[in-house]
Amino acid sequence: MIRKMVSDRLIVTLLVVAILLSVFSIVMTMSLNINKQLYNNPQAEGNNQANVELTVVPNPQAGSNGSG
Amino acid sequence: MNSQKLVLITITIVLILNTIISYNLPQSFIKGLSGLAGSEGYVNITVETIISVNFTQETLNFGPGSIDDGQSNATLETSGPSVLRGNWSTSGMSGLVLENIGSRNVTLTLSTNKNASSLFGGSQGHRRYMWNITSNETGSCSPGALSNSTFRNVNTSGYLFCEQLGYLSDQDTLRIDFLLTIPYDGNSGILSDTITATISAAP
Repeated sequence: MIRKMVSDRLIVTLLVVAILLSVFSIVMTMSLNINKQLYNNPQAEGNNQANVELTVVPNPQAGSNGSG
Repeated sequence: MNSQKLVLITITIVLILNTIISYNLPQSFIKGLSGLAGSEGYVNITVETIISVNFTQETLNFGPGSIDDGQSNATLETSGPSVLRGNWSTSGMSGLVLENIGSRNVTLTLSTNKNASSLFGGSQGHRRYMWNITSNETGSCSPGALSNSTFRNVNTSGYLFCEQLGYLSDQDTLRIDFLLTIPYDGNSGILSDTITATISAAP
């Protein structure tokens, strides 16, 4: 009876360890894949254009004395 | 008990497969990185360089405004910032910022799509469209800086402002300020232009 209980606990422990190892392994593999993609695609995409904008509201009184 | 053993054996097999796959993937990855050498002991490493710049401040919007009564023009300037003879707001008026985000020095040329005439129209003596490029971080541009504190007319065909724009994170940023003089008899409504940065690997 005691031997059976020990054996059952051992199996459960092994199962838990196996699941944890499996999850860890999957996470590490995915992480490595992401890094590999970064290595294979080293292009840094930058925006090389900018915009200048203003709005001119007409003023009929401007320019009347020619100063400025 | 037998079924538990079966589960244990199955999981063990899956684990072994998983380990093999996880081991093989980094092996191929490392090979790609360094070029696995033979018995001669050569190691061949290729480090790619990237040249790229990015406008971290990519929009300069002066907003709406008009020329004051009786004035022939208004002048807006971003480095102050300041507004003369007009009622534009200086709030949020700030120069463009350009950063080298690559991994080596670059030679920088800047150009606009328009000049003072095509942007503003109006009388020649009352319009200006100028820029002033300075290092936003000390030492970003070598040799010397550009038009430092001197406004120059913009250039549609491109002007070489910086022979060596650095890539080190604390020496890789330029600021582009603008001075606009808007004529009383020029275009009205929304006026806009596009600034383009062209780069090449610095010699």
